[in-house]
Amino acid sequence: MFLEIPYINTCYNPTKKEKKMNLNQKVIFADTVFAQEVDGEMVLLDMNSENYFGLDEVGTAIWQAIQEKETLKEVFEVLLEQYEVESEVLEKDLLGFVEKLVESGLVEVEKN
Amino acid sequence: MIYQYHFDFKDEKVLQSDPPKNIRGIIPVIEDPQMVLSETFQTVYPWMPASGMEIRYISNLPFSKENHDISWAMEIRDVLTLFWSKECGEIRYKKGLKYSAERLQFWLYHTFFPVMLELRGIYHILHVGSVEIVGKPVLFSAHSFGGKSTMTDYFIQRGHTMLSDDALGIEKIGTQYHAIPSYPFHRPYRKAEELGYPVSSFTTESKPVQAVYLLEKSEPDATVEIVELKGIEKFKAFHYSTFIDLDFMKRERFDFFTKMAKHVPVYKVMIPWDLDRLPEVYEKIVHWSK
Repeated sequence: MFLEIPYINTCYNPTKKEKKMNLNQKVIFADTVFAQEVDGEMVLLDMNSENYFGLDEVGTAIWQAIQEKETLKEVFEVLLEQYEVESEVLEKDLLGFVEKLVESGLVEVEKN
Repeated sequence: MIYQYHFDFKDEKVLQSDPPKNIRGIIPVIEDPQMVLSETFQTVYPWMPASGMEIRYISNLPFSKENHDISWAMEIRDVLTLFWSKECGEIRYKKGLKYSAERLQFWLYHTFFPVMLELRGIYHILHVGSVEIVGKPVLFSAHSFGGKSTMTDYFIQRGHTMLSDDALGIEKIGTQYHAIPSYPFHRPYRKAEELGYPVSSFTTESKPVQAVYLLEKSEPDATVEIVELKGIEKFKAFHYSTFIDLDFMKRERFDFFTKMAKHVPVYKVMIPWDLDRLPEVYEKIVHWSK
């Protein structure tokens, strides 16, 4: 089964996000998820669910930044430098994306 | 030559032949009527369907990343039990009630040996058809009943050399991914426990894979289209073609085939589901490959 995680235009619920996630948190990759980049797109395999996921270019950039940085705040700063985007929009989209990863069982977020 | 090896059937004269040149090894295949696995082989996997029969794996330890190149057996219910002895470097078998030499050959070539090659880490096996176009191997990947056999058959009829009817070995040599021809039989029809008819135009030489064609059905009157795939769409062509997928292999297979996807072009071919249009599909693929 293959699923695409849409990065742009994700449904965002600010109340829910503020409660659950913020930029001071740290993302932890699930041990059962493998990732490889193919043609600039990240391909993910979740061993538990047997699902495969494909990330688009922006999703791939976020995934790679998460791999390299400690906290979401650092990821946010990397992306802010990389893309021409308003900081509020970026924060909203970044947290929305990470929440989708959490919902899909691909990562966990360390609680504050 | 079977995946570049030769089997020395010690006890089945009808299967005996002289070893060809340039083989990787000779594997003795010996009948062992006294074989009793239950005393030392405590890990018995559940029965599962395969080629119209039921099979199960038996080993002394569960297969794992640390324990994969080990002695193990495959029991084909009522037909035979095949046993790979790592210590002796030979395959032993015990006949069941429905045993025949043809069935020994089928299960060895079609199922047991490809699994053994995977477990031993010699090749990765892809469930694909494969032929040469202008001397270079191309692979046909598809869902079940997606047209692999039909396409392979049509290319053979048009004089192309076959590498694989059903399963192909893949070996990474340097930065290239080589296709390892399987066995010189072709089964254009779907009959269980048969290898099919012998193919004279069969190569035994391994060569770098030129391209993978992912076959997708389209309406009978649709245009024949070929498009290059990228990213996860490209990876799917390999994922559809998994031959054996034990849990401990998943990560390595994933890494291997995502890396292969970076080096080998993958094209989706939209195939009108009308046999009369097969020549048109054939011409398009040949033209595209050139």
